Amino acid sequence: MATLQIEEDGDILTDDELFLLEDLVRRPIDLNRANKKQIEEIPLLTSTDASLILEKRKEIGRFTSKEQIFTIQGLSTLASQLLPLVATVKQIPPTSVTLRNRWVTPGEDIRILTRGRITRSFISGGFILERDPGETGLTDFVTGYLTAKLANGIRLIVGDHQLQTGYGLLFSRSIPPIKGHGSLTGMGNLGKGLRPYRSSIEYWALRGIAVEKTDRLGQWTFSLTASPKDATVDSNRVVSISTSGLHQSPSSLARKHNLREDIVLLSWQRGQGKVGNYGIVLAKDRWILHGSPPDNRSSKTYGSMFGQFDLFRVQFFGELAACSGMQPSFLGGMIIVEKNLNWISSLRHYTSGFQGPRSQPFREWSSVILNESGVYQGLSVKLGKHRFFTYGDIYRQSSADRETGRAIHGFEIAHTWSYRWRRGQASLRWKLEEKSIEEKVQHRGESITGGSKRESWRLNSSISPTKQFRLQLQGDHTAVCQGDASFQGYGLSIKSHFIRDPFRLSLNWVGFVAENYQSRIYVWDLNFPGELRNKTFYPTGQSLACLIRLKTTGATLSARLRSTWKFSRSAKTWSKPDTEGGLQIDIAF
Amino acid sequence: MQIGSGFIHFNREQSALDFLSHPAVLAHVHRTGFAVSYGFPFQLQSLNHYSVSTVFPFKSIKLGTAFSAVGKEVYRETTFSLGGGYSIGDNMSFGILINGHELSIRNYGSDRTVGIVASVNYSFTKSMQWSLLYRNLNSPKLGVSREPLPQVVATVFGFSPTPSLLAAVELERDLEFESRYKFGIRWQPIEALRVATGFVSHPTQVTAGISLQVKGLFSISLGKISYAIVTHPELAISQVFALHITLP
Repeated sequence: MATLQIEEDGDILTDDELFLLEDLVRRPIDLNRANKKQIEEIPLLTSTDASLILEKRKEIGRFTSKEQIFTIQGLSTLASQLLPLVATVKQIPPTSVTLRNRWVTPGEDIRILTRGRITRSFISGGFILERDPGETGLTDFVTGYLTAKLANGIRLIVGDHQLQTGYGLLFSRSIPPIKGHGSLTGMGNLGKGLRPYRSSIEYWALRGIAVEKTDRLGQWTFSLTASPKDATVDSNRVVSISTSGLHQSPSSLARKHNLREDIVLLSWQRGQGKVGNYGIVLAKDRWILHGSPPDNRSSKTYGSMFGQFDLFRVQFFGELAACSGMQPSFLGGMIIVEKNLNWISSLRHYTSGFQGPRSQPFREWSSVILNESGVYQGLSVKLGKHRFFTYGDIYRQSSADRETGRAIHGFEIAHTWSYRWRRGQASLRWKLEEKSIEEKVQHRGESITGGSKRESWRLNSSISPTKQFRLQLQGDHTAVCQGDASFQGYGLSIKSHFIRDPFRLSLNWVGFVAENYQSRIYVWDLNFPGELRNKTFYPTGQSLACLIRLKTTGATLSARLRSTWKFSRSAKTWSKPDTEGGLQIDIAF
Repeated sequence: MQIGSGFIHFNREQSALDFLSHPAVLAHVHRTGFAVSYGFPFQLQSLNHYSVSTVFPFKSIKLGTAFSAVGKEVYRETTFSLGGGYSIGDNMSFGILINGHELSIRNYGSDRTVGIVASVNYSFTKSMQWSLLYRNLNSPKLGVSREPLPQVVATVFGFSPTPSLLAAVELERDLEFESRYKFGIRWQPIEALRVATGFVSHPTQVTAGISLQVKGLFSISLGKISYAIVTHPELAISQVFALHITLP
């Protein structure tokens, strides 16, 4: 996995996708037996990659070595990098097990995660147990599933699952598209259909039973679910629904799973037809609070149609979704992919208050209730070892914000230059974000002047003078203006990695000077396998971290320690270190 | 011997008592066995406890049952346990234990609840092992006040540099208290004798134990007599006796 070049502000994988990738590294997919759908399920691979692999297999009869992957014409760069890690041409044993146990101690309390998966022949099952700091239950979050591949292209899932379909207006996405280089590859990808739920974020799961059938007409999915939610209620009215899944206080614990969301959905998707991939989704939901429907949440019907097709080397994509009682919302765009040039342009309009059962489209605001319109463009150009990437997004709320009484608008623009050479790479990124109003009013009638503006520079460099040693440098500068006030932030991070099988040692020093939280600095932490943790540093201080990893046959043991000292400018003293430790075991056989 | 070696949840011991705290050990039981134990915590008679347990190996799954009790007429806790252990491949085993707890306080009343214990064990190599345990992972509660039973999670690393020596460290966390660190050593100088010692933090406790193995105790079975002591910084020493019988 270390050789896969995923940029830190480019493709971001969900923890489900990351877990799946790690699972595949330990239990590679057999390229000689996998069907198109199974190959498409490999994260970051496209439908085109899957088709090319199958065509090659048909041509040569059977893959006899991994090197034959590199002879497939037209395979994407990511697929060429990824397949040698996650695919094999040898036969796979019938039973496999993966287990992960992670302990993280932020301060006195502890976060514990245990996740496991077992696959035997055509049946697979998995679970996650998680406890966050402050929660009173050892397994406050529990999720699990059982899936079976039956005859005639039928797949059954019992338990927690998700439907990745369309472009996220109603249901989840394969990879949440974000602004950055990842949008070029992520935004135009259709959802990959029915999947077991393997994330530790409680809100997005559908809990029930689902059936998927694949035939010559396409892929049919039916799901019947009753998912628990945490709601703040007032008499028989739902005031708000929590998406955090945290139960760290008596009030949050009291409202745990007090609301139920019943959903029935039917989807159909056809791929590789004469006009490309397309499909429709129909769903109906119902809410139950204390045994009966709440006063302010009536049953709704949803529908969407989506499609993706190529015309004159341009890929067009889009989804139009509607919900009973609301104006429709849409997301669409086009992508050009040439050898050294990639370009994406997209348009979105999400009606104020639009909310699908599991909406997760490309957007500025992360709320599950949508309310925005925007135009986004991204361009990537490759010139030899240089690559230039730029993107811009202009957006505004579709209607006035409930709290401020005004429609917030803003824009975001970024330019990145990167250079790769044999033993390393360097990149420089500039980003500017401006928003008309950032802060919310406490009571109606207060006026907020100005807006917020954030400008940042980041310089990244990575050098590997030998195979056993790698050095990474990151320098940041952030300037934030809010109204009449302005704040500056500076950061420097040095990471070194020493690899001598079966050991790996990583060290990280971070120095930061940030006037306040607004001008904070972000640095990727020394992550455990399966973690994608970004640390935030402010106001002034330094941090030192160490990660040790030991790999044995079938298992990996990782331990981490980070200490952070903060400097008080007024008292001119250093604080006592704030220490966080962690331990993780990964087993796979 | 688990108590004598610092309360560490080893996976090597195959007595008919160890599955009560580490059900994955059931997967390694090969013969039917019985065990009885009696303990004197802190030399307080009202807290004396006893356990009776049996283990049955079947073809793929191994079962264990037990009955435990603490206290007397005024305050009494009783527990009925049913557990199962299963091996996956050569290196991994897991087990689940279901405990039915009953608490009775004279003149106040009684209540019952069910607690689930789950554990898994993995052998990295023949000499290195790891275990993970969850006790009361279903958050059972007792009484009108919904008092939670102890919810504990532990991770254990064991190392056996020689076949007769076993050392282990354990990190245990009861949600109501701070983390505890345990260290234990178990040594078998001759086949019939095992000695153990251990150390526990929060509160600081030192443990010691001895086990004598007798073959053909009743001319058809294998017997083992064990004894362990535990110190406490503020209370008196605790003692535990146990008798294990394994049928051929």
